Amino acid sequence: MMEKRGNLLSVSDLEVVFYTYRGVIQALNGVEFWMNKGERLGIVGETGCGKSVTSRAVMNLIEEPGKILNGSVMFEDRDILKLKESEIRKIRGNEISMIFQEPKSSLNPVMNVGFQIAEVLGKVNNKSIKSQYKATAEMLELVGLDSERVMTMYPHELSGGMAQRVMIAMGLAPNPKLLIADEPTSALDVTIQAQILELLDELVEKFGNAVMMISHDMGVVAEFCNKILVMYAGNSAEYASTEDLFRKPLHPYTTGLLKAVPQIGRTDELKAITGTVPDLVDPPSGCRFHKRCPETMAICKKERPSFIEVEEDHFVACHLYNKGGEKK
Amino acid sequence: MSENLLEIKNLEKHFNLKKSIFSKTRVVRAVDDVTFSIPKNTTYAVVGESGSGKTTLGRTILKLIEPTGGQAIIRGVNIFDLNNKDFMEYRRKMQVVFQDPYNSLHPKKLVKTIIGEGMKIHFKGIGEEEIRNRIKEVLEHVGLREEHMFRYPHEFSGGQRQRIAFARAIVLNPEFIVLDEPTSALDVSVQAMVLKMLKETKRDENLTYLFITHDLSVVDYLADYVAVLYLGEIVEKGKKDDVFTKPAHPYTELLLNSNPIPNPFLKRDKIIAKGEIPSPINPPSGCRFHTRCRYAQEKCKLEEPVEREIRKGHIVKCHFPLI
Repeated sequence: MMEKRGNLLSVSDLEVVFYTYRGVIQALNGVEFWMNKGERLGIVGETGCGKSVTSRAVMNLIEEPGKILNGSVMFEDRDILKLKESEIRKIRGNEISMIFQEPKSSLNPVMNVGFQIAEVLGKVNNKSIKSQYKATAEMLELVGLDSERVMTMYPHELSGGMAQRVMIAMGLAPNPKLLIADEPTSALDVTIQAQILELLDELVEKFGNAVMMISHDMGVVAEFCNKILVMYAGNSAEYASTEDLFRKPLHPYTTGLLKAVPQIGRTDELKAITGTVPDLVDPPSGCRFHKRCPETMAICKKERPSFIEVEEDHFVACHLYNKGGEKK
Repeated sequence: MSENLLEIKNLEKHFNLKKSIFSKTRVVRAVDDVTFSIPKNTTYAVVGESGSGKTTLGRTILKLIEPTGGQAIIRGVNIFDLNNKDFMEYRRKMQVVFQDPYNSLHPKKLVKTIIGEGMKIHFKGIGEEEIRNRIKEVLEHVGLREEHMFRYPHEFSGGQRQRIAFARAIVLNPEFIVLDEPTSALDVSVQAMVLKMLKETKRDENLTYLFITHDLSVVDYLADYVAVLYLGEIVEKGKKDDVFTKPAHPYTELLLNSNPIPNPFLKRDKIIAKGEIPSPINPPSGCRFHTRCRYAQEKCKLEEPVEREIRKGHIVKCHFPLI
């Protein structure tokens, strides 16, 4: 399927496996979603659902022992999975860039901050690193750091919040069309998290970058993103605008997740989802959620549900729904 | 008001940092003059960010690290004064569950041994049969099965391991359990299960919890009382409902506001804190929060605020509380 549904990114039928001594881990099994320019997509799901693998597959960064078996990742009009490595390199760190959860371990410990940002800018602008220090200082000021002081600092001298600001400066230095942020605030304290999210919000608003934010925190995604993809065990479970997803969650997994999240002022009792996340070496047949699903039916065990549009721009992979939005 | 199980008075834990033989010793005031009381059969939450001293507080109360000052009083006895032999009985009554279920269980021991070990020490002369029955009982209580006794920790998921750690704590019939971030390593769906289990067990076994966490939404679910810690000091404490609905300290207000809400229809104005959390080695003068406080005035820089009671049992340490 080569259907293009978003004008920036269109991922379809993405299948990724990892070959391990335990067997073949079927990490992604037909992931589908798309993004328009300037949109903010949140990808949520629990440990092992494949959200980080998805973000790496989008950049064609799956390494041994992993392999992309199938699918297409249309970035504007190019299929990233079919490009030559040399062509992908022009996209990576340029048109698509990334920031990570552990900012300190993603920075080079033996190079100072200024050099690392100047290096990115040098690559992007095809100039020498030396000539980029002025632009580097501007980037540092932009992310709220004192450029004179921070320029010559090494990563170990930075606090977690400062390091994440440096990562944001590096990520936004090429002014990418798409910024992938993999749990950018999970390692930070809440008051610092609020600062970083505010900064990111301000900057991408200003420059118009699209953001794909990977997170396990429904609260962060609800506040930052305008679209949400819920993943479960390597599948796209539900995809909708943030408002629609919270107003009317369709997939039983999404409903379950929302009932399990504690929230200040919440008065109803928390409801856990029974069972545990399946082992993807031997995933359940049919719908991978059927063993934990409170509304499971006979067909769920046999057939994998397809990802269908139930309401306008509200997609779900569940046998409960027909194409007209009616429950069967 | 019900009887207090534990009273903490002016608790202090200072760590000495020695840089070199030439420089002066510097002191980290990890826990500084902390006072609060935990009523029987309640959950008392201690919230704070990294460096606030919340974990040190929990460990000091259990005497896992020696306090440098203060008292912890259970039924009139200051447990810090007891020698190791006399403290044994309290060790049984005071248990702990740690944050990381992957590191807090011995990887080479069977679940049976992990849970049963304490019983052999505290209930001298207890028979194997009795131990096994009791283990079976607690395993079922935490939602596991009898056959899990003969497995090793690596065979369990994170949520299940945390249940084992909790089973190990309750098997000795304790009165008091310190829960140090018991769910922060878990996914939300699993977290919900563990939280429910904690709540139910507290009710069934008449337990009292000291619940240490950074997650305010979990506090809201579980706690009856809450103390907010900032750089080793309690800045606000009281009934959870009072503190959460009528926060009086600007730091509490900030924490509550920073907590992301999983509800896109609740729009609110975000308060963005100034700067970063200062180092506890050299905390700011006066009110320790003044460097980040949006209401700070000259007085806050110069003078340390005193605690004041703004409503019954609701205490705040601020020159200009939000009333």
